[in-house]
Amino acid sequence: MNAQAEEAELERLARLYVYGRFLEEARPPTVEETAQALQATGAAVTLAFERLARKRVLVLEEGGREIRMAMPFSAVETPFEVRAIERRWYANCAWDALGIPAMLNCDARIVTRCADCGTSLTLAVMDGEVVGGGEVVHFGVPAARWWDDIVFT
Amino acid sequence: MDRWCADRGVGRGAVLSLERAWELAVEWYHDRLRADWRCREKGEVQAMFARLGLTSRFWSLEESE
Repeated sequence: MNAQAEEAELERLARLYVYGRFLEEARPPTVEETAQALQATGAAVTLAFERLARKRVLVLEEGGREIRMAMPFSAVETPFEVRAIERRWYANCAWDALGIPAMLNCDARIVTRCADCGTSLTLAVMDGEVVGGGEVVHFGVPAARWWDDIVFT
Repeated sequence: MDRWCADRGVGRGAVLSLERAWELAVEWYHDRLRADWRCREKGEVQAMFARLGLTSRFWSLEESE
């Protein structure tokens, strides 16, 4: 396997490992944990994470090397809590909150707050359908500008 | 929605019903855990938006002046 193919394979394995750990533990693995699991060096994993970030697969902590987002998962607490399959995660936004049950093909409860009045809202996904009470989702940033500042978006 | 945006000094973007947002989430994320998943090209994303009826300028991935 040449160097480019090895890099691509490490990226693929790192992505799968990150998502697997997020699923199980509701947090991303560290660079060191990933390196140990994949029997790679920390430097190689750091570079893999950076390549994945450039490809917009992951979002890294600003100025750092650890993971802030593996969409739809957030590594930090947000106003979008998703409860499914006896676990709880934080999503980055309303779209990502729906994205977790969409990705897992499972039922879920989404606990958030109305951005207008602050009232607690609970939405449900059941049998492949979303159940709400007339709520809407506002996308504030045009699609072409989403990645100008993805944390803000 | 207009009042909410005005109160915060932000422009009104796109407003989707919860059902449409769910359709978008399913299209976007249903295959994310596949071992062979790959990022979509810009054209594929634009086509996906179009299938969902998201065809206004807001959903265009081309930078505008």
